[in-house]
Amino acid sequence: MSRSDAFEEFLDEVCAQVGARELHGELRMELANHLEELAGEREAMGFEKEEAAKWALEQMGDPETVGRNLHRVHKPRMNWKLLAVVLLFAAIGFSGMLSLAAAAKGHSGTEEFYGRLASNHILYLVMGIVLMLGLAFFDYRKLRRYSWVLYFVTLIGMTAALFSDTSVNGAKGWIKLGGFIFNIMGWSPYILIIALTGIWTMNQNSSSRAFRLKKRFELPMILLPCLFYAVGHALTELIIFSAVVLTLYSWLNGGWRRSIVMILGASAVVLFYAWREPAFRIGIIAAIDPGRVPKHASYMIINLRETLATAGWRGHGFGALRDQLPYVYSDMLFPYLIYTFGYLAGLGLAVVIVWFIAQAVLAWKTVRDLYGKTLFAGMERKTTKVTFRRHLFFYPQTVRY
Amino acid sequence: MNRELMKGSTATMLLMLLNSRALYGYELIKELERKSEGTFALKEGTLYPILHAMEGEDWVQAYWETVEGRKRKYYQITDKGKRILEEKKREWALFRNAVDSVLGNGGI
Repeated sequence: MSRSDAFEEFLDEVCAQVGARELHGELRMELANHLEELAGEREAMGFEKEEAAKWALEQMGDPETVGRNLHRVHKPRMNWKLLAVVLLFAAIGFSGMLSLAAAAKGHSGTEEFYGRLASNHILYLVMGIVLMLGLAFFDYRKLRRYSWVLYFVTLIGMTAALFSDTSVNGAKGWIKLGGFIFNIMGWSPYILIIALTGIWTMNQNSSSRAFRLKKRFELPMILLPCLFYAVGHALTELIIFSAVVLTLYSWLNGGWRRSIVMILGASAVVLFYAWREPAFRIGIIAAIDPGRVPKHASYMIINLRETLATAGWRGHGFGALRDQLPYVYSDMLFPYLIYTFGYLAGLGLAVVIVWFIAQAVLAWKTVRDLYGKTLFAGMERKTTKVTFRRHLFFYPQTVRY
Repeated sequence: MNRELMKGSTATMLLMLLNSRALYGYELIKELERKSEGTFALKEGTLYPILHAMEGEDWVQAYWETVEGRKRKYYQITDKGKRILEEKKREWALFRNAVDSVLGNGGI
């Protein structure tokens, strides 16, 4: 057996113990170098090549033990804390749905709809858990290869949505495909973020022509979707996409200091643009001073304030009814929960939300791969945003009324 | 904290060695042997799991460099690693003093 064959066999046996396959390449290189150094040392002392190799392997010890020790360090770790909070959120939502179902009992018209919410919630929860398990076993790094395809397919989908006459509740941005209706515009920011993250962090030879070409088109590739959103009057998507992408881009290229400057700059531009949209402007004014806007625009805010003001510390109890509040089962679930279970419960939920965000940030710090880290940061900003939009911020709801 | 890093003072000694300059695995074993005058002969099967665990905890940072035609993975101490090292050194001083007191000052 030649020296390199013996070394390869040793490395094979080590790697057989290490479950994290994506690490095998680097691990082999590191241990192979160690073997070479050891053998080189022996050769310098005047030993034969073969003898030196044999000695080097003896120094390394039992490959199975080495591999098992390495596996222990690199075992994929489940973030139990994060999972626990997610399940807690699901349970809280479920209790809200049950309370709604109890409230609607005996009311013709709403009984059937509200009664179905709880079972739907369970169904979505199961689907979510299945999806989560699927993703846990899927090496997200494989996705990176398809980043270009993802980017352009999404753009094509957006183009189709802009020219399609399918609309849901009067809103555009949907396309019909084989019996299903997809909210292309609504999903596009997240897909594009995933795609662009992959494109930016691809391993490429920095002197190659493809790399230089990619570098030159980095900014246009950010601006192109923005243009689509502007043309389609998709303000929310424009805000989500530009804020997340610009933050990630500046963070990748210049660290967190530059990304903070970028966030502030982007927020200023978006606010300026948004201020010129009457619906948005009125929504913000309504949130601050409902008396200054027309009745139809302040309806939600006044209603919301009343709901919260009458909640009390202990709430109205399980099965409370709040007819005046629309969308209690989705956008207005948080206020409804406060109304039903009281300020104390609301405060508790707010604490859990903050804790969740903190846990997510901590988890992010442990992700070492740059693609994973950037993806995670993008999705985290998205989750944080959705949480705030859904529960803590009033204005997006008011925009529509 | 990673279980691997709780085991004894090996991680502390490695951090100490890396505090002066970046080293690769083979070099670390040699340095440890030299500095401890042959008392500590670290096995490869122990070294790499600890190094990788320290990398996971962000105590050290790794980078690849080709020297004399050999591709080596160098480990470099981070700011967090430096903080941990100071902490561990304090702990060790405390421990050593306690042992000294029990054995009697200057008794050995």
